[in-house]
Amino acid sequence: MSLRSSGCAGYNALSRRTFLGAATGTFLGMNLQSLVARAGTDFTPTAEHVILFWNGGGMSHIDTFDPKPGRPTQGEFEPIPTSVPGIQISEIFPLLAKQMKHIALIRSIAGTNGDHGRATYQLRTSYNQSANLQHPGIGSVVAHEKEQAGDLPSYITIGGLAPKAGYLGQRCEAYYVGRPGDRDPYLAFPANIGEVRGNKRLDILQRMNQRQNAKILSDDTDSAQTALVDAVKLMRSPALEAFEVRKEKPEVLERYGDSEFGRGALLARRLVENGVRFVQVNRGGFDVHANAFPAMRDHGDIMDPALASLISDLAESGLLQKTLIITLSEFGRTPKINPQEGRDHHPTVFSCLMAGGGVRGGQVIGSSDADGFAPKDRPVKVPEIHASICHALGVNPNKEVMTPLQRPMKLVDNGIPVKELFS
Amino acid sequence: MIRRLLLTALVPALTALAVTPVVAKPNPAQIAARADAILKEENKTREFPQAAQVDDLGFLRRIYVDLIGRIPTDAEIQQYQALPAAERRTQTITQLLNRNEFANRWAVFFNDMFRVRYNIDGGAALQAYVHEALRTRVPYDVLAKKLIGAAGRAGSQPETGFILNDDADPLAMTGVVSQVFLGIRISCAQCHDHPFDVWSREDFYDLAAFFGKTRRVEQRFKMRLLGVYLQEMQQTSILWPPEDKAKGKTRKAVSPKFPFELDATDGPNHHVARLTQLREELAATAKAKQIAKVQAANVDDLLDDAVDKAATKKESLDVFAEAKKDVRSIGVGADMYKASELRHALADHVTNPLNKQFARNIVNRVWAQLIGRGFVNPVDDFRKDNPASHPRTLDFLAEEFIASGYDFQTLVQTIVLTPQYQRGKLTGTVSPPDRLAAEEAFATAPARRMISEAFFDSIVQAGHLFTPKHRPGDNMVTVVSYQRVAVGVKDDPKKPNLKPLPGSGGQAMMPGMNGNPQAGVGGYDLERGIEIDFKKALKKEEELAIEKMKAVPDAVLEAEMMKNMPDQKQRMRYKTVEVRTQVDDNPVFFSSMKMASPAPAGHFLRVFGQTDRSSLDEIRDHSPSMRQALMMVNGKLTNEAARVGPLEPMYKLVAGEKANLEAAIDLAYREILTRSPNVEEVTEAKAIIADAQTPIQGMADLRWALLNCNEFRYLP
Repeated sequence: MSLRSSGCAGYNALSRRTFLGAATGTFLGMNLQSLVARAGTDFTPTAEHVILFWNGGGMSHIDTFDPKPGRPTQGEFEPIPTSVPGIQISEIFPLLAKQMKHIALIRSIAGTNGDHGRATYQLRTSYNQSANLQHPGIGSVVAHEKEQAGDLPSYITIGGLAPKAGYLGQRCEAYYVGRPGDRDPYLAFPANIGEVRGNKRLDILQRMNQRQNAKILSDDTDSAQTALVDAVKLMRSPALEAFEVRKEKPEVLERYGDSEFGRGALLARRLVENGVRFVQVNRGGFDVHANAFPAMRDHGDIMDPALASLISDLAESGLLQKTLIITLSEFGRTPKINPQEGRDHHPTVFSCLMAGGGVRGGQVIGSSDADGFAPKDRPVKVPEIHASICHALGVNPNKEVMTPLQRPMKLVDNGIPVKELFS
Repeated sequence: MIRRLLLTALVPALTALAVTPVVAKPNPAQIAARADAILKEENKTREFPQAAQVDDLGFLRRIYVDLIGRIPTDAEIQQYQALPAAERRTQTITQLLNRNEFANRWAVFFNDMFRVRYNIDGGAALQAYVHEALRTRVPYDVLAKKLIGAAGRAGSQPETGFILNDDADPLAMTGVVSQVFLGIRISCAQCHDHPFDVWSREDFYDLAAFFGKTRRVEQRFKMRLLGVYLQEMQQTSILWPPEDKAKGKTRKAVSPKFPFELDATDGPNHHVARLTQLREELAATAKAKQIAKVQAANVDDLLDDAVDKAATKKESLDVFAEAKKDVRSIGVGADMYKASELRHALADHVTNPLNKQFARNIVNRVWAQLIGRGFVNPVDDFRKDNPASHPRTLDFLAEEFIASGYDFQTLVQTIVLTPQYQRGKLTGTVSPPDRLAAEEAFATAPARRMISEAFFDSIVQAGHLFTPKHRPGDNMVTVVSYQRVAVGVKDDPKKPNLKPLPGSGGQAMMPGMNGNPQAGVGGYDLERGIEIDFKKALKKEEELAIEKMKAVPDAVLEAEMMKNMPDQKQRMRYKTVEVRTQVDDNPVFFSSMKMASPAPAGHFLRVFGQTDRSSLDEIRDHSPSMRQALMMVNGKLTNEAARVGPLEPMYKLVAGEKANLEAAIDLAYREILTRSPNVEEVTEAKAIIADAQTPIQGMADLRWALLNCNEFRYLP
């Protein structure tokens, strides 16, 4: 049943990408490259991959990237110096501090949603939630705009949900990996089915389908065949080795921290090395309404070695120039510490970290006021972050695509790239 | 023909009663025949190739999947074939409509339509409630009324789940109610006058005003979350002009108005009068039953009843009554249980028999679900620029649905009795435009894939996986997992920290957004699910909970709460260790129809089209994907279904001394494709089995391919 066949592209005969591209070309009537060039002067995009660390629950900005020493809102942590003179971050990130020369911090994100669901939606899609339209996540946007490189899916999410592809169609949905290092059972024949027998089964199936398709009379049988061929190709790809995180040397595993998050970061590196365009690594537990400080210290213990090792490994291999690393969360936490020693939701100002992918490291963009309550300098709207991701990749964030109901939508909700990142 | 029948019946009835016109009740077969006649007339201006009716076994497969959500067993095929040819179809339809599995299957349809999500406030109870409503044949208009007008505590009042779904946001609910119950997308008019339609922002605000006083409220008692309530306030939140247009002007409360037009009179077949008459009859029957019951009750029954009452009273009178009083006095006092007059009024408008759109919407949705194409597509987009393909047929069916007392089973029965439902497929070479023309005229069955739940259950059924098919101990396997274990205390002399609260830190990877069970799961778990105990989900727990809390001294309560608080231990050091366990992997799957839904992301059901029901425009995507292919080729479900177990009938036909390969192949085809193989297929199957290491393995290979092939997932 395909009541909205125009909307669910999937593997339909007409390539969605071609169709949307054509629609866009006529709509804008001008060369996309020229628009991208206009957004940032003298900028040649170098990014080809993105690794997004999603910190679910709302990560405190004051306890991480925007410390407020000496203020009543400071909390338990002291700031520490970084490898870049003049920039300090929280003591929970000692290793990350040493990578500061690669890192740009934005300390003035001005969010508007204080509810987890709505804020998560906007931080992941750039759009505010609406009742009758599902906007695609930024990962789907990247998968839509950048050709697949290598055998692995373009967009992979690890340890949690990725936002949906919405009107960009099923092909731009994230491939889901439950836990880093676990074998995905669906990428190989079951244990009791050998290679020879498995292939024999595929041959039988192929014959049966060819015989039956004339009877079924569906536009989808061809695309089912394509899907099957793609699946088998992926099953047989040597690139699958990338998922075997546990094959890394013990000292490497140790360096990323012996945690799921560490293995997630390591897997992200291995996937990017194999051409994956967008990797999202998910982690929760930042919604610290009570006992915020011990929880944040534990978060630091887990995040610090993973992020620092990832940045330094990519920098060493030269892949950092091509890989944009970004940490995002739905909002920050209140400067005020509540009676349960916790901090509550605070969208008014919060921070994020970016590194690599052409981003100039060793800088802080924008600032919050003395107590970390509101933006002071250079407020950055949420869609500006997504526009910056697009910009780093050479994708025009204002490009329009058509929804199933033929409504033109921009890839990003009117975002202008944060030019300081790339200056 | 029917019309004449109706008229002849009318005359004596009028003389007898002379108040309401009494007409004979046409049965579903008659309505189906009349609908077919009208549809044929409406097709006169079209040109299209006509397909023959679907063959008998094709019909059987289709009707099983559509009515009870799975393919028939071999025994059920035999029962069907034993029936007289002329009555097979109608008898099977009647029989299936009365099974509990019918409620299972169609609860899925309503769960999609009402966007039931088990993980929101009262979501599980709503899922159970919808199922129960279907099972007990609650009229559709009554169900709609309950959902629109509900008030009270989430879970205890299961119907509240529908409105709590969108946090009871009045503007969201306006869009939801019009789109879900009327198939009209008015929500664009929230921000601007509707671009493709007649709806203005004022219409939207008029409708929204019905929800203006409704709020979602969390109630706490002794610091505990007692529940989430749907509650009515004094003031409306719907003001005109809208915020963006106000520009300093005073914004006035909008008084509610139903913006949709109602029929001025009863229809040509008197469907409204017939509904009135039916309701009078039902009321009379109910009253008679009640009287009969009282007269029939014997003394023992009455005594038992009294004893029960006394026992309950004795034990709980004080605590219970007091607690109830407490609940009512919390926060806003009497408003707590106040029913929403506004929403009751809205429900009356929506379900007014003169509001034919209410019936048109559901008829169109059910028709589309069963036939693969609606009169209006997409089903929730009725508007002038998107007219129905067969408006008279649709109206006729809508009117008959109203006259039936909004009886859902009758509607489904009527539709599956139409020749349109029972169409086969065009054969030979058909050009795509011809095929489309035929599909638009309902002259051929469009390609239609099973919904994910039916697909799942059909694999389970075909593979004999509802019960164990291997002997205990036959499938011992070693399972390797990784676990974090504490190995010591972190050396943190300066800061003796607390262990983080559960969910506020720690090591787990993110289980979805903020503890949302929508999170994905790993490994073969993607083919399993949580089964909801529908009975338990419908239990009224509110009063019990309060009763318990009242009975416990504060100190105990506090101690209990402290248990959930972090203990005063220092932060622990963890290590990941490999854990190996031996398990008997003798797989059994239960029906996906009763799984907590929507299933987690990445789950089999989701991969095959179930949506997460979060936004209003979600629609099942039935297009193929690589992930589907991977799941079917390598998944546990397909592979276990294909394996031949010693406890299933197939085993003896393949391995025993009385092995009969031809009979085995025939059974495989019947159990999986609901038909016998043709000569070519038998030859092929024999070759497959001969080519394998053992006949048992060869049969598994054949069954694997049959389960994976397109003929299995697309309906005949």
